[in-house]
Amino acid sequence: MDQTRTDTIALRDPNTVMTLARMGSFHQCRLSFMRVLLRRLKSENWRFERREFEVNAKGVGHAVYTAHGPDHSYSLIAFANDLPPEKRSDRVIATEWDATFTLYDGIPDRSEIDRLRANIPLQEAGRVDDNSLSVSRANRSVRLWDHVVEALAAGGQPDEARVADVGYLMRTTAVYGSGKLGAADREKTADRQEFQAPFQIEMLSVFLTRAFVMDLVEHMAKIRAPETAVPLAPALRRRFGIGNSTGLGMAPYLINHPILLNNWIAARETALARVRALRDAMPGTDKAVRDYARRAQVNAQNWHSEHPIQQAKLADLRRDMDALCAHLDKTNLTDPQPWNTLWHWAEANLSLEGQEQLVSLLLEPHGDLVDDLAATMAADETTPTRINGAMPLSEFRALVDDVYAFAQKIDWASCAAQENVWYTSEEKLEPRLGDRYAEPVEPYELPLCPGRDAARMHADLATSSAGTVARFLMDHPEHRHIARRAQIAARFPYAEIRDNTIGAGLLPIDLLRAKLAFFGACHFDPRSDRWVRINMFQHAPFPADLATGEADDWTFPPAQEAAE
Amino acid sequence: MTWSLNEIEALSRKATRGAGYSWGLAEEAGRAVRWLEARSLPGAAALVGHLQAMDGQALTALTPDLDTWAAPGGAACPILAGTMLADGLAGGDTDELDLPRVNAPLLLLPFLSWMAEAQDRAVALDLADTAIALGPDGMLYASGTITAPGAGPVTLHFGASPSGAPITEGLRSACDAAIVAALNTFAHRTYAPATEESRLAGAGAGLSDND
Repeated sequence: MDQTRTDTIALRDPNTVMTLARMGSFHQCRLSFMRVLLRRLKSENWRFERREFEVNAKGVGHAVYTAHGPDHSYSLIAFANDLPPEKRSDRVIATEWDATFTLYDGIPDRSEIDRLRANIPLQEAGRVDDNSLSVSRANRSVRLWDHVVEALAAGGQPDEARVADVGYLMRTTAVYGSGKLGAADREKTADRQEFQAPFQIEMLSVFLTRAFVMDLVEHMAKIRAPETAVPLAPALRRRFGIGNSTGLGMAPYLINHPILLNNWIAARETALARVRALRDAMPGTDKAVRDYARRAQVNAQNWHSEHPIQQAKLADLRRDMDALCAHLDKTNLTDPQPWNTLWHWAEANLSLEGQEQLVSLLLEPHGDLVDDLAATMAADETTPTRINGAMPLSEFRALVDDVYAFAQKIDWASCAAQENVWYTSEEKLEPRLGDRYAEPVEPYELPLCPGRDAARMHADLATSSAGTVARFLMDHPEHRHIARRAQIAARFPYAEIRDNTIGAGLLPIDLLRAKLAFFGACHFDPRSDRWVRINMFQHAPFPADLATGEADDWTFPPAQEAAE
Repeated sequence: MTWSLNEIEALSRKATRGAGYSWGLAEEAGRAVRWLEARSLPGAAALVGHLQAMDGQALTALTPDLDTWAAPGGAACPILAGTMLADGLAGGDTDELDLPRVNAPLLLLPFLSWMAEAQDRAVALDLADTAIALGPDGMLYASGTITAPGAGPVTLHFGASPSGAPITEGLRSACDAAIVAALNTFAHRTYAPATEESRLAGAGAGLSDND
């Protein structure tokens, strides 16, 4: 393995990586969960079948799509609805949707489908059992849906510009897994190879949902005009993804799962370090990175948003990709550790958007070197989260000083530092963000402010005469939550966000983007500072295409488009 | 109907917070109930019984003294006593420990299991007439059916090798719906009443979400 001779490159410092601004600049990469899933489905020759499709002229009915893997089969059961327009809302407070889904463990019989038909369309108001691995729902993009049905019914194809403008026919508004509404806990499936990487259940559900939605739109066109209707042209069909509308409720997830967050970040950082450590570029990779850089340049041009924050970030990214391509044009990449040299150039010359995009580009041609890291991204969140009460307090003080150094630099007495309160609203138990000084929500504050809490604990640690963490927490049970986090962060360096998560300048979309980038989303389109739209699996193959086609080269615009 | 363990843990955590415990202690209570329910033991019911009994009392009255393990208010809280034991505040060099009076002592079992693992020695006790042991390997053993007695004294024995039948871990909770409703009553105290302002701004619905 002479080609992969490496020197050691240290992983990036958590204080560099774990800022909200940088996490809000993450991009999808080879280790993103949609890509991990499709590589597995392809390499293991998963087989797919549409077992049932019974949808009437009003668009009401159900369908079953089954994926057969080496050891298990999984079925997406879809319930289609004829939703009055006034009921269509992406908010969690909605009560009806255009379509609802569950990913079923196995193949459902008629009685199971009937049982689920009485519950899945109700979502939170229904109950499922542990045969359901996920529960989800989706709404139509009304303007594109109607256009596509009309065009196909008339025997034509939809307008490409309109397809590009929206990019999806339905967007999911929630995909619940891990025991929600009575569904199976992760423990039920954690030992199955196909669910080793995180969120594989949810990603499989969305992948099959996309197939269902495309079949449904063609079905509705055919019902409208059986004589003239045509299916979507295959190349155009690929341009549809599944939209996703992610609100504030997802933002606390990364804070609530510190070991999982660490494992995602650590895998990506380890992958970057492995590539940077290569003494020489492996054969073909210099050209590949140049090609991917050009495709990323086109991707940045094609990415649009109406939100001013994102528009500014897109301007940065476009400038960065232009600079990167220009730099690569005049760089021969033959010096020792060429990727590390390129990385240092990027740190000095690109914005956070461009630097984080370069992480993805460097990983792209190095699958053999980094893809194994996907198996390290899940987390055991039980035993490692127990408090080590025997730890001497002096040792604990030192680790708190280290992990939460960022928090000591913030003036917590200022109103701006603590302006936001995370709380759960009584209404449908929706997580929300309120103004500490304008709304009566402080008594309901959730522990989603590690920096502030660490600063409070720091003050009590300074005056405590306790010898151990156990004794300190007996005197100060109010610090038990942050003490646990501190001990976790001491062992898992990327577990804690090293930033203020309740300050006046907080942009929850930064947290959403970090998470959705790990899912594999390509274009983030914030609709406010706390709500973001994305598109999943756009340009990806459909289940039927996997056997003969490429499974993992769909996240950047095609090479020929980049060459033009 | 059964519940996922995540549901029961999250609800128990919120209920304990609603009853006035810190978030860190509420997390311990949630894990403890999950541990019990996964072993088909009535952990959620024990938590409801305890929270109803202690509701309105200051936690300091329920915190055991480190020397006598007696609580100034009468019965000690099993969550507080349990975390202190699991954290290592007792048992380092003794073979036996008397807890004069503990509320809902079934809730101690998960903490004793974690203590056994941390100290690498078994912990044994009797609940009602059943001999129970927690092995250093994390396993639970019992001589018969484990019941959920009310407040009472508990004597812990350290170091003997566990005996009794091992109780295996499952994936679901068969908790009664009335118990879940009682937990929801406590959990509800952690939810902020909805206002029109929070409905709009709090969730961040800016532009129309319907295109």
